[in-house]
Amino acid sequence: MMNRFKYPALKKALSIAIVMSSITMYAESTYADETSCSPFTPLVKGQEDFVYVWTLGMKGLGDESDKLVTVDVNPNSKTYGKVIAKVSVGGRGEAHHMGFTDDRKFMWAGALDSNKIFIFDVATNPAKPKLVKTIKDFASQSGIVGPHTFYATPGRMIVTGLSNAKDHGGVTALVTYNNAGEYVSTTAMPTSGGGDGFGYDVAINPNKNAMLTTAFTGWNNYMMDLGKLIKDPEAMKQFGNTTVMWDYKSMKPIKIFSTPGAALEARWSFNPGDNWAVTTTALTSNIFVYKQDDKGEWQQHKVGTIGDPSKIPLPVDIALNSDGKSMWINTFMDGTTRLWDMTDPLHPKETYTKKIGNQVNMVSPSFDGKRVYYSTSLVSNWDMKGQVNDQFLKSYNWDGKELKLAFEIDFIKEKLGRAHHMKFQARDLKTLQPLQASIDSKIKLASN
Amino acid sequence: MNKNMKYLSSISLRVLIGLAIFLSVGFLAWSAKSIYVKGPTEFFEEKSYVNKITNLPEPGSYTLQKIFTVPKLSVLDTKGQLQPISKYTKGKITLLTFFYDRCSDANGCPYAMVLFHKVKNKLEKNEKMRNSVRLVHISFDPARDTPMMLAGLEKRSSDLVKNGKSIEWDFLTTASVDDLLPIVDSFGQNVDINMNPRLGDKTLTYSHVLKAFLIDDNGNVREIYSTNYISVEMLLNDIQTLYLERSSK
Repeated sequence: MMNRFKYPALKKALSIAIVMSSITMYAESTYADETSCSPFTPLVKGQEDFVYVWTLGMKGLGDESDKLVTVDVNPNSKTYGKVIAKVSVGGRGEAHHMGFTDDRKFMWAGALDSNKIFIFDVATNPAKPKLVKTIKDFASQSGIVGPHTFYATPGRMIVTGLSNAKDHGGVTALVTYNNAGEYVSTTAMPTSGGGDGFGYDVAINPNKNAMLTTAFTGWNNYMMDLGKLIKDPEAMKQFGNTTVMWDYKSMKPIKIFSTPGAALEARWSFNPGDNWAVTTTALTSNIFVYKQDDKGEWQQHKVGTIGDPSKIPLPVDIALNSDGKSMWINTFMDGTTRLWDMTDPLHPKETYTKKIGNQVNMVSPSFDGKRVYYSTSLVSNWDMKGQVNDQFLKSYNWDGKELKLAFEIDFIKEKLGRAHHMKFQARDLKTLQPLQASIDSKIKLASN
Repeated sequence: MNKNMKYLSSISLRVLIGLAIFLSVGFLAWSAKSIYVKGPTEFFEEKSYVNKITNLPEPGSYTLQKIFTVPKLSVLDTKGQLQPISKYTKGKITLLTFFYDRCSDANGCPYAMVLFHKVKNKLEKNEKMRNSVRLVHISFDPARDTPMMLAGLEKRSSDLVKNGKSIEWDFLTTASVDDLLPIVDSFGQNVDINMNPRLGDKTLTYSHVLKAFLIDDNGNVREIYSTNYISVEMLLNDIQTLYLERSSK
């Protein structure tokens, strides 16, 4: 694991870690979209300085290439609301999701079609990420295609697959790398005991040694035109209908649940003591919550319905808010964001809706919940076509009652591409603190 | 009247200052005891803040991944002799972490020290485990954590059990930051020097996320722990899992 991306970590580390006393630190572990980060990753708890947008290249637009776009989102900055950097990776490979390493110094970003994984240095100069390594043998090494979620664990990165290299169907696996980008192992999604072998997202609760995975569909479907797919009854059968609770330490399934309709994003509430997880299903518009019963056995609860399921609003991204008491849910087809009260996770209620655009996919609230960012692209062949193909990053201010537009960047007008996954970064990594849910409240030791 | 008032004010002020000094000294003494007391039995004996990680699998019922192999590097032992790191990462099951002696981050080095002591105490009760496992601390503050200083720490940490029943516990350092760089880099241990925000110069504290590494007999890192993913039970289970794996070969 020597020579991590050919520049020594400590040399950078020794550089600067100026203590930003003006940035609020919270002793308690409450945070917002950072819930979509791994609990092993330090979190941006103050004002985020940058939003990185993993952007799909569009034919005939700009350099046509997938790229990592950096947007300045600090209201005190002269370039607030502007694109300040972009790194093209060369070609279009269906850029999709990304995730920080456990030290938040590197960003791994995947492409669902080319199966390439791009590793960016986002610490040396967070305002200007630099591509430092490309993993090109993901498919040949693991037998898996469609690297989707990048979920940091200590010293490693779990990459969920969407498909496999053999038949491009939905049977897939979790692939683990070390932080140097070296392949470690492949863990198959269960295909027996009720498992369908499909995969999509992963989320870990360290305190419970529990890991939840969800299930989507294979390359054959996610690369197919959406209009054609919907009219293909056989193809429509090829969606995941299960979720799996795992023993994280042993990487063995504990329980397989029937979760019809392709469960997508998996999130754990990090509110201390909560220990429940949530997901939503794309095709059936349901909300499912996972919680242990009195005997300690994990149970799945169907707790809500999003919009009118008969119209297939297509729930896509979700984001739990800072204290686990509310959750943003986006529905792609009607371009609407919805706020759900999760105070009682087994009886949640929709409390607010707003149309964001003709289509909307990702949602990322800030740590304090006062800023909410939206982006548009789902996958290139499923995005809307023509004039209604909105591609933007929109930033809103949330006052607890109303979303008010702060700025908008039209990614087509700027010749960037399709705006997909967003991640926050801070200018000074010393403003980040590790998640310490089980320790902070109990320790009273002095610190110098 | 004014004179009397001034006198009384003066007395009150002195009493208040005296009380403040008394309370400050008392608080500092209490704090120091909590953090820095390194006596044989009191050493970080705090019990309440150990992570509670539930639902762990039985030792031996799972296989730990081979995450990476410790590369060929050199360290300084407590006699100031240059040694290959393999001397401390092969031949036994090794639990290794990075630290610096001045660290007072409750979630960093002191916390790891608590856990290592607890693991040590448990393992020393079993002769086979005692002889099969070692603990290693490597400093990332070579300027201050000199071999001589670490020798004292090693002695205090290893001599707690008499009659040679103490588990091997090595405290290592390097000659310079340049020698340290490839080691922390190879383990992926992030560390930052905290800067004084007003003066812009270096402070004597480092910012780092606690990491500990479990290494098998052959020098392969098999598990990595961090602040919110480490507990005594988990460490013991994983050590026993590697021990059973070795025994089955």
